[in-house]
Formats: sequence, C-alpha cells, structure tokens
Amino acid sequence: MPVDPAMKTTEQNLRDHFTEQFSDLTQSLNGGQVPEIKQLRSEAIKAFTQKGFPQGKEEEYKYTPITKALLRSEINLQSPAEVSMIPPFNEHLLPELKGHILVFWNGRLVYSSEDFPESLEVQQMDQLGADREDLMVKYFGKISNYKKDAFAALNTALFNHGSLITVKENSKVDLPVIIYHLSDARNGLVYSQTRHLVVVEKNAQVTLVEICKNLTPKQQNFHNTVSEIYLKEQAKLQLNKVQTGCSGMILVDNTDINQLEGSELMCNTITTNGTIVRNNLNITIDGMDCTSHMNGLYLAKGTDHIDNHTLVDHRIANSFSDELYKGIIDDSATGVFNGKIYVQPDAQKTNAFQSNKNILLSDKASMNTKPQLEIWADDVKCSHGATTGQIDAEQVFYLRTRGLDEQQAKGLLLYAFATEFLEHISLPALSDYLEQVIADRLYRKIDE
Amino acid sequence: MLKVENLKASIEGKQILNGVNLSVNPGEIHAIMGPNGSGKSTLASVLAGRDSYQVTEGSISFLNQDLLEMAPEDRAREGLFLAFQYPVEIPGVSTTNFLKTAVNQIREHRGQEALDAVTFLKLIKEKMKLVEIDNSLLSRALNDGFSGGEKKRNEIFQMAVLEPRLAILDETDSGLDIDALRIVANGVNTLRNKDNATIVVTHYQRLLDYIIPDFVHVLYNGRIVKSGTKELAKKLEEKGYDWIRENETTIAG
Repeated sequence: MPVDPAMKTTEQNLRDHFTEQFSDLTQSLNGGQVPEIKQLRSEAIKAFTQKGFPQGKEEEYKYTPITKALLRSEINLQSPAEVSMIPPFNEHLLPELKGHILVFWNGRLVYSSEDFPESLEVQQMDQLGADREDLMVKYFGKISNYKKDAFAALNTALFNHGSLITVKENSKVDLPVIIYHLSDARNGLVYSQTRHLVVVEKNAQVTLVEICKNLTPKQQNFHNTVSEIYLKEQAKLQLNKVQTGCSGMILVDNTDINQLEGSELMCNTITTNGTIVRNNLNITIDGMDCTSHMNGLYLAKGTDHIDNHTLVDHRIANSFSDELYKGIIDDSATGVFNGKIYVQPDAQKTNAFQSNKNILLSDKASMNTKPQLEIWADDVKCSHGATTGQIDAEQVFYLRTRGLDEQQAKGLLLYAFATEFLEHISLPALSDYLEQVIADRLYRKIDE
Repeated sequence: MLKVENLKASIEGKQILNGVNLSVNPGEIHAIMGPNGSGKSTLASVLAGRDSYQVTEGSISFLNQDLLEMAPEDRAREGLFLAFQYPVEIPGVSTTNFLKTAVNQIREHRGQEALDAVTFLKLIKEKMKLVEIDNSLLSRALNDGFSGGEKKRNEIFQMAVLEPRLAILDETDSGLDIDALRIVANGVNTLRNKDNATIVVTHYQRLLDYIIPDFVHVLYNGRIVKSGTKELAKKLEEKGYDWIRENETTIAG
C-alpha cells in the first residue's frame, strides 16, 4: 500500500496512516454525531494506535498474516471516494433470492429496497434520524471487541457507512434481509469498511443474508466489516454469511451477537475463496434457555487462506450451543479454525458442543485447528472434537467396486461431506445456489 | 468365466495366497470354505481389485480378459460384484442416489442408454421385494447406522440391481440371524440363472443349507487343498477344520 512509494512500508506506517485518517474524519464529521459515539470513536482509535495491526507473536492472529498481506498489497488505503455514479449492479445479485435488498459498493450504499414491511426498520449509519440516537447510545459498540481486536477498533473509529436494522417486537419479517457487499477495484484497488447494527426485539423473527463479492477477483482489495447483533428475549435469527466470490480479497469480518432469554440463533458461514478471509464470530449468551447453532463450511484452494475464529461465552445457566465447522483444503491453501467455548460460573446446566472436521486434498495443504474449552461451572455437558485427514480410501474402494471411477467416487464423497452444511439453510434459493457452487468446485477439482 | 491360475498374493510383504487355482463356469455356484486366516477374504479382495494386496505370481482371467490389469470400477462394469464382509458406511450419500450413478455407469460401459428416474425407481421397487428391504432404508445414507443384518441385505439388494455376471459373497452370512440368512439366500437363489455365477466365501456350512453349491473348495494356508461337492461341506461341519489340518500335515510330512 506504499503510503510513500519510495519507502518500504512498515506496520508503523500503516498505523500512522489510519491515525491520521481519523483526525481528518473527526474534522469532517463536524460534530454531527452523538457525543457518546464520538467518545467511542476516540477510545477506539486510541486502542488501535496503541495496539496496531496484529504482528507475528500475537496469539489470535498467529496463523493468519493479514498485516503482512496488507503491507505486500498495493491497496489504496485512502478513505474510499464517494460513489459518483451508481454502477450497474443487478448482474451481481442472485436473481432467485428474493428479499429486502441492500447493496453496498466499495462500502457505500448504492441501492436499498423500499418495500420494507412495518415490522422492519432500516436506516443508514450516515443518515440516522434523531429518533435513532437512543438506540445507538444503548447498543452501538457495546459488544464489539474493539479493545482487543485491531480491525474492530479501526472499524469503530472510522466507520461511516452501514445499516441500522431493527425488527419490531412480536413480529416476523417474512422475506430475508439481504445485504450485498460488492468490491470493485477497476478504478484502483480499494479498501472499504461497513458497520451494521441489528436489533431483533422481543419475540421477533428475521433471516439475514450477507453476501460478499469481489467483482475484480484478479485485483486485491481489503474489506473490514463489523456487525453487532442483539437478540432480545425469545427473538429468532437465521444469519447466513456467504463468502463465495471473495477471490483476491483480504476480508475481515467481526460479528458479535448477544442473546437474551429464550432467543434462538442459527448462524451459517460459507467461504469458498479469498486471499485471506478472517471471520471472528463472537456470541455472548446472557439469558436462560438460549439456543445457538453455528455451522461453517470452507473450501480453500490455490494459495487461499480461510480462518474462522468463534467464541461462545455462556454466562447464564441452562442454554445450549452447538457448533459444526467443516473444511476441505486443496493445493497449497491454508485453513484455520479456533473455537472457544467459555462456561462461566453462573452458567450451570449448559450444554455446549463443538466439532471441526477437515479433509486435506494435497500434501501442501495445511490446517490449523484448535478447540478451546474453558469451563468454570461444574454441572455442564460439553464436548469438542477436531479431525483432519484424507478422503477415506475404504469408502473410495467401496464405491469403485460398484462401478464409479475414482474421480466420481471422490467427488461424491466430498460433495456429501460438504453439502451437510446446506441442511441448515432455510432459504431454498440460497441453498440451491450454494449447492451449485459446491458441486462445481468438488466434482471438477479432483486429481487434476 | 473365471480362471484363477497359481495365484500368489501378499499384503505388506506377508504372503497370504500361495498358488490358488480355481475355475468357475456360467451357471455354477462355488463355495470357498476355510478356517480363519486361510486367505478367503484375501482371495475375494484380490478378485475385486483392492490395491493393498500385491499379486506376486499367477493370473486371473475373467470373461477372457486379464482381470489383474483392470481397475476395480472396470471389473464392476464388466460384471464382477463383491458383497463386502464389512460393508462401508458412507454418510451423506443415499443408497438410491448412489445406485443410480452406479447403474448408469455400468449401462454406459455396456453401450446402453442411461435409465431415467421413473424406470430406475421401477427397477428399485422390483428388487426391493426380492430382499425384503424397506424403502426408508434406501433413502437413508448408505449403510450409515444400519444394523449388521441391514448392511448385508443392502449388499444383496445392490447385487440384485446391478445384475452381475459373477458375484462374490464374502462372509455374507456372518452376523445374520436365521431370518436374515433365509432372506439373503432367497435373493441369491432367485437371481441365479444359467449365465451368471456365484462364489460364496464362508466359514460355516450353515449358509450352504440355503444356497446349494455345485462345488465346495477348502482353502488352507493360501491354497485350495480339497475340492468336492456339497458333501464336503457337510464333512467339514462334522469333523471340523482340524481334519484338514491333520490331512495337510500328513501330506506335507
């Protein structure tokens, strides 16, 4: 990203660059912001300036060298320019997937459906009405881990765009809310940030889909997004994160979810490419009788690097969490999985399960997996397991004795391994699309 | 149909088969019996093409082709079928979907058109009756969580659908109760005709009360040491494998 092309960029340069960007931003925002949020921004930039981007020794990022990748890249880290002309984006949307659609282009909103039902309110962060101030003060930045994570800090300090989505009490939003993040580096390699805040009120229900896509896969870009999501009592959310068009991207996604009593979460994350993709999914369970399902599928090839860090923090008794992440790593690609489960002293009768299963397709493929359970309560049921291996030779032989050739047999086995993920997605149009993505990938790329 | 000559095979450097000779003609049922560790399952595996075994000597011709030169899938497409002693569990793949792929691979190999969904389902229904297998079992993942008996019945069901020229049943009777044994045997007997052949590999004589063999061979130390009719199986049941061992020692001595 050379800030000064004559000099070799260092992490310190990068840090200074963003710190400067912050002082420019505070001037341009011109006091048009709630004092509490302004205060938060200052705290965040302070945290970021002190901490800087993660480097070599930092435990949370030790397998995922994002800082190096940023320094190597030539991404223009200037604050992204306003979108002067709305580019044609229709061809990049999934035509069959109907819902309330928001399209962000290099971090700026370029399209929003207008047919929101009465139960759903969507506003943009840069145009919030005065009536949203209380909501912002109450929820914004409260569960984001910006004090620990440099990317969350950067986002909190510098965010400008994103959506505030609220679902009213006792209501169900029938169609999914679909957020597209499109990155386009045709006019220069870009960096973009989005910031979302979602509040699903008591006994309300909604499905969210986030689709991230690089329209210029041969050119790198950097997207740093943070979402804070609140599930109030008995609220239900299905959150689908679709990272199937992320070739060339450095993508950091911090998603923090807070659950209150009786709420139900189903979070599905699929990643099929990316220079570096890092998902931090943090769930805090602050009520009894919550359920949280986390499903992940990652298919890495080439030199792609896909990292999923998840944390479930059981703070209150009697809740249930269940996590299954599966990966297929090919070529020289790398996968990383870190799953933390905390069961706090007050979280008796917690049931928490976690499993990570990986298949390596090549000698150069690598997978770093680390389940991490920390339990301070004594009356709980917890389990975890991680496996990494090759395709089962006995299964391949069995299928071959029935007339399938080796390639078909392996393809069928990988396809079956991967498509289990789709069982959790309740939107047939999305599920069909993803099935096609998986089939194209796994039937074609065997023993080539 | 099948001609095995002086077959020697080893696994991880350990020789298991020490020169097997066997000839099977269309319409015949052969039983291969022998004590544990005599090489029965190795013979079945080598015939099906399991690559953990090395053939060090000898030849196998199947329908006038060199079987040892053929990949496992080509053997299957040419009409060889192995019912596994331990059928493999394959989560995520339903029996029906997998069988449709298999049937159509074999048909393609034979220059026949692929079956459409309706014709395939008709075929499945017809064969299901034969082994008294339930539809719900077939929509589940292949062998995943099946009981021992269900797995064995599923093997015979697959055999019925794929209609092999030569079927090898590797210890299909092990772990079966008497009802399941009767169902499996009935399936095999119904599928029998003048053009196909069956090799029944078994430790016990029990299955041979239901599937009547034309020939019985006793495999011992990797060789066929005795061949005869179904009477030989009865004699083995009476006298046990020690009788063969004593015989062998006498001859060797």
